[in-house]
Amino acid sequence: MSVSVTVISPQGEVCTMITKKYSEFLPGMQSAEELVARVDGLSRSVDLLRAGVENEVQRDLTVAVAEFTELKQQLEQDTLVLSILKKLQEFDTALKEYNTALLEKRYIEAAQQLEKARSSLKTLESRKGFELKILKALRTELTVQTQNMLYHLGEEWQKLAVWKLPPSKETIGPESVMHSELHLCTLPSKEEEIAGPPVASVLQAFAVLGELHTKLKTFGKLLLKYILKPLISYPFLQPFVEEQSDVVILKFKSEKPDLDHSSPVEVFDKIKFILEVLHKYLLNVPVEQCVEDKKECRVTLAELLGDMIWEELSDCLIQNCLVNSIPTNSSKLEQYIEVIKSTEEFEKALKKMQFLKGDTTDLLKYARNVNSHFANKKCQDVIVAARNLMTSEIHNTVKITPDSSVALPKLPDPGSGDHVKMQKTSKLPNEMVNLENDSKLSQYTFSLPTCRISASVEKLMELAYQTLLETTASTDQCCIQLFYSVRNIFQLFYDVVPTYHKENLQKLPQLAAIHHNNCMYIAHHLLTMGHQFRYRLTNILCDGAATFVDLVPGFRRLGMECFLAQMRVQKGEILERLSSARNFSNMDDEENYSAANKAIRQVLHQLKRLGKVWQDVLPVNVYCKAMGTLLNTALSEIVTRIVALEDISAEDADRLYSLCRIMVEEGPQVFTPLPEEDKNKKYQEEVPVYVQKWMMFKELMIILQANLQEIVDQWADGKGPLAAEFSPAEVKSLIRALFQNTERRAAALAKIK
Amino acid sequence: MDEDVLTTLKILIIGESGVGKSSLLLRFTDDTFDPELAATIGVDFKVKTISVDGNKAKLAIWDTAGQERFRTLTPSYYRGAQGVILVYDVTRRDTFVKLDNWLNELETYCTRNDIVKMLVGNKIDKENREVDRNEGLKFARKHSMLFIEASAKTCDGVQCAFEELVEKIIQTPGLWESESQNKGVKLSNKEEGHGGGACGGYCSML
Repeated sequence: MSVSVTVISPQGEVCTMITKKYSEFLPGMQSAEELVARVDGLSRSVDLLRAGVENEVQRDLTVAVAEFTELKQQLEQDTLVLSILKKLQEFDTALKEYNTALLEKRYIEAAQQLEKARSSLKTLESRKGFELKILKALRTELTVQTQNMLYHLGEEWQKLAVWKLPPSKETIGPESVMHSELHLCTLPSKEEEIAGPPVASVLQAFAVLGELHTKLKTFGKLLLKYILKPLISYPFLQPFVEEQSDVVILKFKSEKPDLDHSSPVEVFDKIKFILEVLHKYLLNVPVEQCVEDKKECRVTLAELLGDMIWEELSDCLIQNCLVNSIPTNSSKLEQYIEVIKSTEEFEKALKKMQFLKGDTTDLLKYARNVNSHFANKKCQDVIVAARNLMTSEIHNTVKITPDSSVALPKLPDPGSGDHVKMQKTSKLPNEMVNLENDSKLSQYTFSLPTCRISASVEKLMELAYQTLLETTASTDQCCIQLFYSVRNIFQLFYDVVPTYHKENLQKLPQLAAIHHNNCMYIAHHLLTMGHQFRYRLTNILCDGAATFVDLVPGFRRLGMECFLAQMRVQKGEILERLSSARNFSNMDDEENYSAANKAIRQVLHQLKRLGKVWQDVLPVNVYCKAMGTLLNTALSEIVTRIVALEDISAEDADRLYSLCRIMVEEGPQVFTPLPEEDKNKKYQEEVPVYVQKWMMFKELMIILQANLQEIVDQWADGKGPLAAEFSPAEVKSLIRALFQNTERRAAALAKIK
Repeated sequence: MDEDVLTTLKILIIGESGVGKSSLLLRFTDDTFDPELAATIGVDFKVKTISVDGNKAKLAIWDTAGQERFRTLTPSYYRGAQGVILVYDVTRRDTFVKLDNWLNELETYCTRNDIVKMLVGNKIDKENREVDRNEGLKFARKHSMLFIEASAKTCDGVQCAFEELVEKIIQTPGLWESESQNKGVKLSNKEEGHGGGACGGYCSML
């Protein structure tokens, strides 16, 4: 119990203690809490206050900034307006000034004022995003004024330079051109002497307005079209000047309208005259006022006009005057020095008048180059002429005989010069040198045989000779050029003719023959052509370069190939026709016989037709060779077919014989090389010479009709003609086909070996 | 058929145009004469069997064209010829002068060196003789040829000309023997006198 009391006591004590402590602490705590609450309140009010202040200040600031901006914009706008107004004022002043100036006909000033106004306006318009209605109006006004000014100037200009042109617009014939006139006002009008001569002021005003160029261009065009070009083209026009009180009139009169082309000297004089007049009355005006860029400062009108028309004028002069004046033959080349001189003077005069700038020498250059122009012109002419000849019809022919010493021009005697002496070769065939030997060569030995060639080819050869003759009198350069043109003619022929006429040459045997002749003819001339001119050409060509011999084989080949191709065609046709003869077998059958007969008739007809179209065209020997070859083709084909037959009845043999007889009788008749019927007999007799298988064919015919003994006799131990044409095997085969197997046949066969 | 024939001989007749080559041949083979005989074209051929000293020989006679224009054909005819008859016209000196050319051609084309040549002066029946017999003889000797003057018209010397030529050929063994031996025919020396009087023309046995 005690313990429990004792324990309870501390407990009480502690409890008391705690309670005491707690009561002490509590008030402290309470005061602290109050304090915190107060601080919080204070801090809140501070925050409120600050926010209030900030709000207020911010608002004021914005307002101030806005105000400032507005003011600033206002200021800017005002400045701008001011400057625009200033410009507008400038523009206005300029226009006013311009108006007064225009009224007083001070054109240059007016023009300058107008330009000033224009530049003001330009400045105004250059401001972007700033569109005033007034600007549009101003622009319109400016345009109106400019046009007005130009109109006035134009009026003045038209008074100053009056054109009277031919009415018709379409064609400018020589007649209508006659009536062109140019009136130039010379004196300044009396009322105003302010701006110097009106011409100058008007033109300068144009210059200021930038219209001078177009005006002068029009003027230049008219000048070219109605005065200068006609002067170049129509030699009979003669310009002259009529001076009246205040006007100069430029007119034409006509004289001797018979010339085709006037000489450059005359044309130069006339043009110089015109330009001098223009220079004197119109163009001697410096465009002095500087317009912006300084280059134009010292430029005279003449120079401007010159710039504009010179190119066309010089072209026209070259095309219509100088080109024509280039001589077509070399002998006149010497005289051309005059033209060169006058060209030089012409250009000098033009330069003096400042029409031309110092470095332009188009005309002179052209004229000085006369040799080359001459050669070019000549060569071009020659080639063009040659080409025309080559593309013309082949079938227009001329007959060439050994007597016709064609085309050889008479050459001047070279002995006078320092060239090596040579024999005259003007007519080759007629001046044969006698050989030591008694027997002389025929004068025709080296001649081309009689035949027909195209007329165009004869002309072509003449052209070649003429051109070569021309070279003999030419300068070196020209000579070489011409010489090679002649070679080019032949090269051209080589390439052009077979291509251009290809189809006809394949299709028409006569044309093939003529072409063959043409080629041979050309080759024939090419052989000697170089030699004939050898000592007359320039030194460069003398050293063996001047030759045509290298072209000869080509030409011969060309002619030969064409003709051989034609021969192949004909041969093919003959064989084709004979192929329908049913091998000449079983001739006792009517149908077979008539087929064979027809085939033979066809062949003969074909040969006859060929003989006709080649008649008088091919040289006789070529004709006979060609016809002989074709006839030979037919005969040898027939022989081959008959020899191959295994059985020939007596009737077969008779019919074969009669078919062969047709060939032998009518074959020679297709040989008609000459148009005179009676002269052809000779060639018909010579058929065995031209037809290789002729004898063979005859032997075959003998066999078809012979008995065994006769065949053996023809064989004659291998020494008869049968043995010369046929092999033993062939003859034996024929005997077996023709004769029945008897002892006699065996005996005969035994002799064929 | 002609079994008793010793050999076949190829004889060529050459000479200028118009000297009478074809006439000589016709006279010899057919015993005819045509004064208007046309010029030969190309070549003519006849066969005739002739008997000389009992030797029968068959002659294959080639009559060539004299005209210049057919000359290109002639060279081939010379091949294998054993005898040649060279004819000129005694009334035309130019035909005699041209003989040199013919000899030259013969030399050029004939295939054997020992060919027998007979010179015949034709047309002795005519009066306007231009070439003397001695001239002909001399020329023939110079070129080692047989020589005879003849007339195809009057028959003078024609037969003789051929016979002498054949005789000479046969006497020149190398000229024909080799061929005959090749044929396998043996010949004795004693065959002359055999088969004389053969038929004049060539006769068909069929």
